[in-house]
Amino acid sequence: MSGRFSDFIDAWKSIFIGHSITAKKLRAPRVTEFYPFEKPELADRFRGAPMLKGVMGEATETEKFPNVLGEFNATIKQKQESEELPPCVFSCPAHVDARGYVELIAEGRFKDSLDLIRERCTLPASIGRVCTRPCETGCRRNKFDEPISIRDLKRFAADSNMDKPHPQAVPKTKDKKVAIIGGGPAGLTAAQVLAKEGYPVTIYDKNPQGGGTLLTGIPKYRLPKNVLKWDVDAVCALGVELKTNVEVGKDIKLNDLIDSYDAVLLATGLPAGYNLGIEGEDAEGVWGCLDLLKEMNFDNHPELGKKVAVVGGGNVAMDGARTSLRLGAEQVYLIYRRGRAEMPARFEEIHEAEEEGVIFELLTNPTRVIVENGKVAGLECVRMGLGEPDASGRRRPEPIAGSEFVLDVDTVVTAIGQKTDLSFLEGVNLELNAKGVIVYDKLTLQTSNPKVFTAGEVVTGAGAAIQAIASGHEAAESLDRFLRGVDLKEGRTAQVLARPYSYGQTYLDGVEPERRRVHMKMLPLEERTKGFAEVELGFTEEEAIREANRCLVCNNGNCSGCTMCARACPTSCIDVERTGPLETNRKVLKYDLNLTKCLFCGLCAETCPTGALEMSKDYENAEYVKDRLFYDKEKVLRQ
Amino acid sequence: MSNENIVGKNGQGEKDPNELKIVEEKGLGYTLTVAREDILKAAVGLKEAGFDLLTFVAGVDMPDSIKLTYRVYSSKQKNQVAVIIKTEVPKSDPVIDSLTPIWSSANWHERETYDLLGVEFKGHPDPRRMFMPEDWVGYPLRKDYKDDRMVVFEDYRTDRPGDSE
Amino acid sequence: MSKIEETKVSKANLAELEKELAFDETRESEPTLKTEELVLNFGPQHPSAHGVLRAIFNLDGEVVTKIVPYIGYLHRCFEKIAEKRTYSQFMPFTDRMDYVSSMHNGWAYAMTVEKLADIKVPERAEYLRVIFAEFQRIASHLLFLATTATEAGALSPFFYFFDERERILWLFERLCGARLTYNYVRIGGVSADLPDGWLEDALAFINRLEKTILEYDKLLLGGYIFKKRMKGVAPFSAERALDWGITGPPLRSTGIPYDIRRSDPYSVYPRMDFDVVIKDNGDNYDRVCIRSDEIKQSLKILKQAIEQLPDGPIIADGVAKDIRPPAGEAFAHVESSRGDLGYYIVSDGSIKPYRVKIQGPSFANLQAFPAIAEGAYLGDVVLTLGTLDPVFGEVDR
Repeated sequence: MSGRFSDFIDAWKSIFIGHSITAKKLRAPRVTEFYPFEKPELADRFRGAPMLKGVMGEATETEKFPNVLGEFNATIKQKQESEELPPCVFSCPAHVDARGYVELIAEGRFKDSLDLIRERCTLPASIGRVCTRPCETGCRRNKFDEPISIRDLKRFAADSNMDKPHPQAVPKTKDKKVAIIGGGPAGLTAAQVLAKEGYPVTIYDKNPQGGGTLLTGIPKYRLPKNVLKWDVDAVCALGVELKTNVEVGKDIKLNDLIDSYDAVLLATGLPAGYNLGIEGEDAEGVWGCLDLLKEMNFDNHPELGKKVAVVGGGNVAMDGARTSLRLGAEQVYLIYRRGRAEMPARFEEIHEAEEEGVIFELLTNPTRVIVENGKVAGLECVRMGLGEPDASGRRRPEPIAGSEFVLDVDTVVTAIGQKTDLSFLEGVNLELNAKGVIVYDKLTLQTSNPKVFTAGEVVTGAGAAIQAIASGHEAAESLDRFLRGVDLKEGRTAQVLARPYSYGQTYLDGVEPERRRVHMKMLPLEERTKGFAEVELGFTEEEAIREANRCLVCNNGNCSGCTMCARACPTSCIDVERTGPLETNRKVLKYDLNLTKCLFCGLCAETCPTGALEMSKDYENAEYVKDRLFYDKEKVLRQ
Repeated sequence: MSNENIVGKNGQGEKDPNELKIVEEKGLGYTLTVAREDILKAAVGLKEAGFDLLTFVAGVDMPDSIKLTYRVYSSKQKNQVAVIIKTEVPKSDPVIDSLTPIWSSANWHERETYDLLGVEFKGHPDPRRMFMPEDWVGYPLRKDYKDDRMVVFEDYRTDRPGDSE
Repeated sequence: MSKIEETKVSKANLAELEKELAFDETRESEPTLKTEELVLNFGPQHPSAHGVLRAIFNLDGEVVTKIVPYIGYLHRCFEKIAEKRTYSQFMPFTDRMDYVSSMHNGWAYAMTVEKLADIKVPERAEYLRVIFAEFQRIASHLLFLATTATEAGALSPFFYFFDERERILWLFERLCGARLTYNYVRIGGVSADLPDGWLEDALAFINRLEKTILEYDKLLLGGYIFKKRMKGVAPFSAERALDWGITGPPLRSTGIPYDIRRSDPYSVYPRMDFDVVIKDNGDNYDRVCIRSDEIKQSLKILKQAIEQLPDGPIIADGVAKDIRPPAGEAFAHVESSRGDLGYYIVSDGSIKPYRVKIQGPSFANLQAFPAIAEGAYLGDVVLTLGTLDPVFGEVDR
């Protein structure tokens, strides 16, 4: 008993001691204050139930981006910042409204689509055949399966309207005259924009037709010349005067043009090619590739030998190699000093050249042309190894000593780069920099002579045709401001540059066949090298509508029924249905989100390319939100 | 403890030093692959070499066999080294020695592997099911496990009659 | 008892009385007083069960002689679900394993897939993951302290700790929109960047908590009753702990300095300067104190991480949406608030994993629960279960 009693006393003693110790500690003042009383508010990013903002139904159209002179760049910049600009438009150097015209094709409105393309892209039929299509690289569908064939749809829009009349001439409302030297993409774009504003524009071009490098440098099996002529005629129909076979510098002096016109635009591009700089280059049988292609495009069939070596790795070299095959060469070697991954040519050009039978000699450099009796008898080459990367990021090739060998060829075609031909600037007071490039202001494209502007490849260096077109738009804005007497830089937004995208690799074996990209039909392989018929055959109307229906219609806030949210959902709670792929009157038939299965994880809203599906920030019972998930009950079926 | 030391110590306890080699595998670290008869020997050898913390036992259901993976740490060294032991058990005879006498932590892990995959551990002190009720039939984590009450996840890609876009 | 009432107790009588009433061990128990072991079901629904634990206690008086735990009441078949989901679809499920510290689960899963597919995570994403993991650790430990105090009988610290934790949850909500299951980590990085003003508020909170946690230490852990209740109860030696496979704070409280952030470093932890907290005894008191000390270390890491936070992208470039790692296996583990959380993924080269094995630390820690707690009083057994800090999402998956 005493044992228990003493335990009992001990326990009570502990409690009293404990209390006194704690009380002593509590008497010490509290160091930190209590939190102030505040009513909690929902954060901006609070994830409630998913909710659709809008649904593609009848008569919903996306916002289009037509070319408004002076405001276009600012619009693009603002739309990009507010996330209303789709990635295809953003990736294009000229910011052609790709989403818009693909939508119009899907709705069957081919003429409207062509009009929208012509807002920003001057030569739709040609660009639709030769463009490097950065829009397709930026297409958001790359993340899921295959991108939309935006370029081929542009070609379809142009081709299907070839029998329609050209646009009507715009009456000349201004009296300031503009001269444009060079009728390539840059010059034609500036001419079109200025003509639409009512300026009288005259283009001087030294070739018998307009088109510039598109005429002389791109062979007929890629771009038939009647197609190019149709494009150029459409520009001239606006009221542009095109003077062909006039070479500025020989037939007419540039100084006279500067005096007699109110503004001059130099857009002569890169007509000349570089020399290899090796021994024997002046022998008969050594062609510059650009000359070869030009001869071919002007229907002067040049005489090539039976064994041709083409030196270079760009698109021009590929064109030269495939042209040689069509001109009767039995063996065509393509010699490039770096490896396959470093070739700057487009992937499909390389692939088609290989298919046609061009033999690729990679990591090879020519050292000497073996000349016999003034004619080419062989080409001595040396193997290269790849060393450290140089300034452009590509690895520098270094010759491997002792690996020389001789290629048995009788024609050598060089395609190692293009350069400007500024001989017409003799006697003209224009500043050139140390490398011989015209000095110009990057924003306004104005040269040291305030009346003279430049655009296109002649100042930016080699690039794609669409970049020249973008440059032409900038030059048109500068010219318009200059001719109106307005300050060139004030209130002007620079052209928005596109950021290169990189989507991860997607594997296509899990994709249903109906969702795959439509492949354009091409000529059978045996028939391709027989002549200069066009290799890619274009879309039929059904194929075009089917391909245009694949577009996810990004960033416009309306659900397009692409089902990407349903595929991303971990509990498979979304059920989406839409009209078929050949339906031009598109709408979403059903959108059902089962809130009892939903985890509210937000993966669907993250995946949604249109921005229509959002996490609703709705804190109350999600049942209240349920009604909003079914868009407009009369039009969307519920089950 | 460097790799050579580990192998050396292992070599001491075994019949043939070349039999059990620790290799470094990508993504897994040091791995030791043994046949199922040698698992007890390998475990004893590792325990003597200082590996005293067994953290998991995993089973992977392959078409003909069940692969077992164990992971043991040595806490003695400054940079605690971990070794993954891999064995394989044929489905026709899924029996293997239990490691509970060596590391008590194998107790529940082996029960879980038995419950979900059907691997029997000889010498386990408490061989009953872990998650499933005692009278459950079948081993749920096996690939060929069928149950009417299972709700099958409808993958939008493959299990629906797909819409055309 | 009538004898005592009748006699007047005096000092002289007291000695005699004590002798008479002294407990005589040799005397047989009276035939009507039966003692037997009571089998008590500590059911799955219990406010102190830390989830859904069913245990059968054999009680001898107040002393628990045998514990048999039964688990499986929260088994949601995540490992089987994982075989039918793509890698990115499985991410929200990982939050629901250890729901009290969900950032760590997502991080471990993402690390394993990144190991399988050789993806390099950008720097800013690594630092953001560290910042949120440490905040998550503080939140989890605050919850632990709150519930442990409540189980020990101190009901008011619950509100103090939960108020602090609430501020952390508000910070998380501003970041990713959810308070408990964040779905913040992605394969290749994180999903969202910090909103404006977040870092200032976070630093203000950290500075405040550094002072406040010391006060709470004095109030709760320094309290005489708390110490009396917890010290010396259920001690556990290092050898037994290693044998039973315990990791995390319970192991460190026995004296073994095993912290994955130090011994098998991942992400940017090698650049952080912090101490691995260890204690000696491995009893209840140490297991509680070590978590409070870990909060202080986490605050230290947080300050360094916020200072070193670089600019840059928050997700790796070019990670496919339906990622398809090459066939193989990988294992990666992180130091979560409960211990060594690891994922073991076997891939067969398709978009869905072949097998995902999740190793939750609470599973291994709970195994040791009978060994630790047998022989203690009933009230202490429940408290011991609390100090092991099991979360049943991890135990049952």
